[in-house]
Amino acid sequence: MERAMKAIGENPGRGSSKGVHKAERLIYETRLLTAKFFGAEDTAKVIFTPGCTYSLNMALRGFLKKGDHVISTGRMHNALARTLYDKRLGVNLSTIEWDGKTPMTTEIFKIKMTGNTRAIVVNHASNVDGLLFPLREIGKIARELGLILIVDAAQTAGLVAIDMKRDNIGMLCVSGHKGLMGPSGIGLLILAPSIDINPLVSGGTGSFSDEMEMPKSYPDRLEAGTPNIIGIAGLNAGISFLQKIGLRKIFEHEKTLCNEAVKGVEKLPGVEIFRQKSASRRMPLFSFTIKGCDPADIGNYLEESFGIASRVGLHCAPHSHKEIGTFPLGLVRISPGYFNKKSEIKLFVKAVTEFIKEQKS
Amino acid sequence: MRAEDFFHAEDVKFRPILKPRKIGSACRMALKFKEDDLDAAKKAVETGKLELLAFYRRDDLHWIKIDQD
Repeated sequence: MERAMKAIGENPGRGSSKGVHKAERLIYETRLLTAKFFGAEDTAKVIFTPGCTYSLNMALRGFLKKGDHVISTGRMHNALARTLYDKRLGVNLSTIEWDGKTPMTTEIFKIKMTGNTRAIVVNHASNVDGLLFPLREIGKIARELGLILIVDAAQTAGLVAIDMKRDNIGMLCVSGHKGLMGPSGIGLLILAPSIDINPLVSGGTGSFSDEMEMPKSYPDRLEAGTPNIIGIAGLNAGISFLQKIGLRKIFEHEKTLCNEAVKGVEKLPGVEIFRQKSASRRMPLFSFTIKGCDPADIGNYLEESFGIASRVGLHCAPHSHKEIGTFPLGLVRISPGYFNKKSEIKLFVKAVTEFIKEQKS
Repeated sequence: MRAEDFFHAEDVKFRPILKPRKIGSACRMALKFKEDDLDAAKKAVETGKLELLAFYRRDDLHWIKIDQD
């Protein structure tokens, strides 16, 4: 990113100088890299956005119209939920409940369908208890029912292999700053070749400037304004790093740390763990609380006394908390990263132990 | 952030903490300070026209709302 900041000072698509060419080359190569990483068939439909929330808004507002019906799950993040509940969008929503164990069948979705159902919209994984939805199965179901599958992969991109063609994903929404190890302020919206959506934002694209409508061709159609070149450089570096290390290695490391953390605290008095029981259906994160305690007190103590950062509250996912029975107090979420060490997990276990001791005294 | 600036201006020593969940489910931040500085904190709120939820006093495991007058 620093190299890009120093070497690229010109706006891509707005000239023919060496600097412009450098910017365009970086952006083009990152599109190619990303398309390969996610099994996207059309590089031109790899769209850079300010983040996953923005990508979801572009996808939903660009594809759906008033009166349409969509099916989602009870584990929506607010990026999905608030958009789908927005009266200005005017869509009707049904949700399915899934326990993480029962086989995902067509019937689960079919009974929710109406004559106006156009899409299945899912969080690939819950950011509260890590429940991992079976994307491939849902993709098959969407194909069978003639519905478009829109995926919020904020929690899974970079940890779980996603292949748009294999999984029949119509629109994939991704954060750059989580599993993809890029900076904040960059995300992706990737469309399947057959998908065409209306732009959310209008503006200059450096192309067809004499026309007053946004271009029909991609990516220009969905990329108005100056791109976040530094963010794209960071995304490129992040994905390259993942390819070098391997998703499986990263996932296994985080899973090991997560399991050790859970093992260290689950038997402590009053501790209640919230994560999927089935190991094959969960991401490497968990949430917890301690009976009688305010989750904010736990989070404050972890940070103030041990320098441990956690996320406390509803995690922008009130529906998830309602589904697992922890609304409105919420929980403390722990999600180890690739760069966390076992010694830090031991510190976490010590911190929770000390907190409980202090509460008793 | 604004609240921090106005608290600094009134020389109130504080620490940003997570808002206690038992006060309400809305996710917000809170500023923890000593009760001796309550008057200065109230002045900071008034001067800065800060959007205050309330002042609370800790009583063991409970939070008691303080009258703002």
